[in-house]
Amino acid sequence: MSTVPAPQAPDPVSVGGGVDPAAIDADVPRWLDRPARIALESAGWGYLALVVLVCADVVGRRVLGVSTAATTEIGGYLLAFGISWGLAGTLVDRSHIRIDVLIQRLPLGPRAVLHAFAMAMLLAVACFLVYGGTMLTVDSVALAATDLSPLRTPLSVPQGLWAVGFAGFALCALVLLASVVRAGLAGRTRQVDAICSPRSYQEEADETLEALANAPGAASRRSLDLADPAEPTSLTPPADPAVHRASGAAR
Amino acid sequence: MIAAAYFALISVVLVGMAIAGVLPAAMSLQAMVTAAGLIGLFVALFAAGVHVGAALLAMAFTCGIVLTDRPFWLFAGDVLWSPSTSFVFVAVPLFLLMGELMLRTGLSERLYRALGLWFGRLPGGLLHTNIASCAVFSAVAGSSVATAATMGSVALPYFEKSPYPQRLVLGSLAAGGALGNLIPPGITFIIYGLITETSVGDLYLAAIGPSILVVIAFTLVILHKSRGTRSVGKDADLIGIPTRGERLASLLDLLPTGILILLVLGTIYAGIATPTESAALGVIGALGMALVARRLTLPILRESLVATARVTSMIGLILLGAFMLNYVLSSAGITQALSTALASLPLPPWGVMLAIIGFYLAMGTFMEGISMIVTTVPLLFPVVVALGYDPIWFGVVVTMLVEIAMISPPDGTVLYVLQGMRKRPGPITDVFAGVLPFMTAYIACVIVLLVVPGIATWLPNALR
Repeated sequence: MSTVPAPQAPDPVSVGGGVDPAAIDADVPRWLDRPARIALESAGWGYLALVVLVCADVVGRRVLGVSTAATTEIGGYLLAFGISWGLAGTLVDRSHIRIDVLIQRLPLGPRAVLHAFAMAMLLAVACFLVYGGTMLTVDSVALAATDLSPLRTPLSVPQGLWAVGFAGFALCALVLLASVVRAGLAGRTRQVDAICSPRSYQEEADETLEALANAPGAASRRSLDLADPAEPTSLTPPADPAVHRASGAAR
Repeated sequence: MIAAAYFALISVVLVGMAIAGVLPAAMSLQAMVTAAGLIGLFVALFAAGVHVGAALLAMAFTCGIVLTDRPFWLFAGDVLWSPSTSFVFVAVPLFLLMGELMLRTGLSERLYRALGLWFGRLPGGLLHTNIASCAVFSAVAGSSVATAATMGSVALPYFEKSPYPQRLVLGSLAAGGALGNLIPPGITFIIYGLITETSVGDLYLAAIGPSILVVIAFTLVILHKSRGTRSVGKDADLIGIPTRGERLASLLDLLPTGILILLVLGTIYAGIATPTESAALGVIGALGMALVARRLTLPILRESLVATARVTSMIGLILLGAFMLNYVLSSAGITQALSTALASLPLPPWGVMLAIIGFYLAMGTFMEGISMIVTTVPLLFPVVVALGYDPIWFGVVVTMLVEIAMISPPDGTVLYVLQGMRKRPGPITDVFAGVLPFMTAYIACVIVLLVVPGIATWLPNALR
């Protein structure tokens, strides 16, 4: 997947809002990528933990007749953690949704100004989130608040982690805003566009195709496997019939 | 363009009514000016390309300052914490993860081939396979873009150099993609349930009837479009002549998907598990299947997890903004005032509902589905309930409208995904032209649902 470090980005310069990764490299500090990526991935592992937790609860309740009685609470905390810790990586990947119908039609100059404006708004909003998260955590610490589950989890722990995720998001927005302003003032409007413009449909489609192609033996590659030991029941034909027969018909 | 025309029309009607003095008292001139100013700011933020979540939070802030004198920011933490930890919302990353795993484990091609063997005889042959496989795939995946992209990548190679009209091929794939969120389990329903506090299980039950209706409508469109082209529809040329043995064996390829559907939908409908729990079971099922097929590697797992986290945070930011805005608006009494005002308009309820449907169709031409729901449903839901419509029914209608948005030119996401995957070059207008008959059929289904709400509501009511 062509995410932050983009080592194997398929297409250096693509049409229609496509982005040249090298252009981003020129202006965005590299140290931002790794932490954002790690936070994003840890959010993902949190969701996997969530799967295990919820399944254990279902099986425990239905089969063994026991319940952890705290699944709802812990699951919620994992979700809150996942959302806030994933925000920064999502921003670096340009995946937060914007309506870009108009921006895409503007010349690069005004487009760069609007990109900077959007990033500034995002920074302001992130600071508001940090404020809300911090206040909630501080209150929970002051009141020594716990949840209602038998675990009596101190709420300040999940809420604190949640607020830290927002702080990372705010930091990320700040760094990106600084990069955008610096590049913009230096007249490098293409770079500004590369840092900010939302992922195009083309990129989304490319990424999905890449994911499919990476699945071992998936899609087109699959049908070329003569004897795939993994699937004894498969109807896999000796060669791709779509191409051969259709071309035969066309002739 | 259509959108601008629609909104202009609505404004003209409102102004006309104001001049004629038929507007209810709740819509005083001052209130209307304030409302117009705020809506104008909102539109400006969106048009300037401010991120949707940020625009919503900025609006919450502005509305909080302009409309109330309460220190709304003191409650920010509590307001934001509740959706962040909602056990209903937990289902979203889980369904996403299941879809990502399915995408990367290559189940989709087997599904397509197997269904192709069974539909080859009908006029329009493989085109039906497009719809059918999308319908089956969307019963395990929760996203329209994922459905269209996955099925498109599998199906398009079969149609290369085929005698099928390109437009119909692309149109049927886009239309099939637009089933992704309507056929349970869909993410849109979870978000709707979260915002309106309706039961996601009931929404999934209510979606069954309309899903069948839309699939039938699509099938009729294909049959109609391929009248008299029976010879063209001989898919023996494309997919091979199936023997009876092959057909039976193809059922084995349907088995993994069948098991997953049973695991996910079966447990919800049997009342064994909540949607969140069934999503978790579905992830385990998808992991198990990937293991059996020896396709589960650490890189694939990590990619799936990262993609899941990214989409969840993307939706999360918008949801946080919407909850904050909704909190401010309802504590300022705006939400209630709006629903009283709209409900007391000198229009029949179905008139207002038609206006709402038109509003969604217009917005859908430039806005993405989840943002559309999250931005509008908190405001429109009380109106709809005040007009006497069933909350569950409205959830199904909104989901259908969002799906139509995804395939409506010129900005439907699904259309661009498909265009991006075409091997045979051609203008995007091919996709536009191809999808129009399906879109018309889809809109017709919404109208049918408006006239006969029972299609959606009888099942949840019967089982309640």
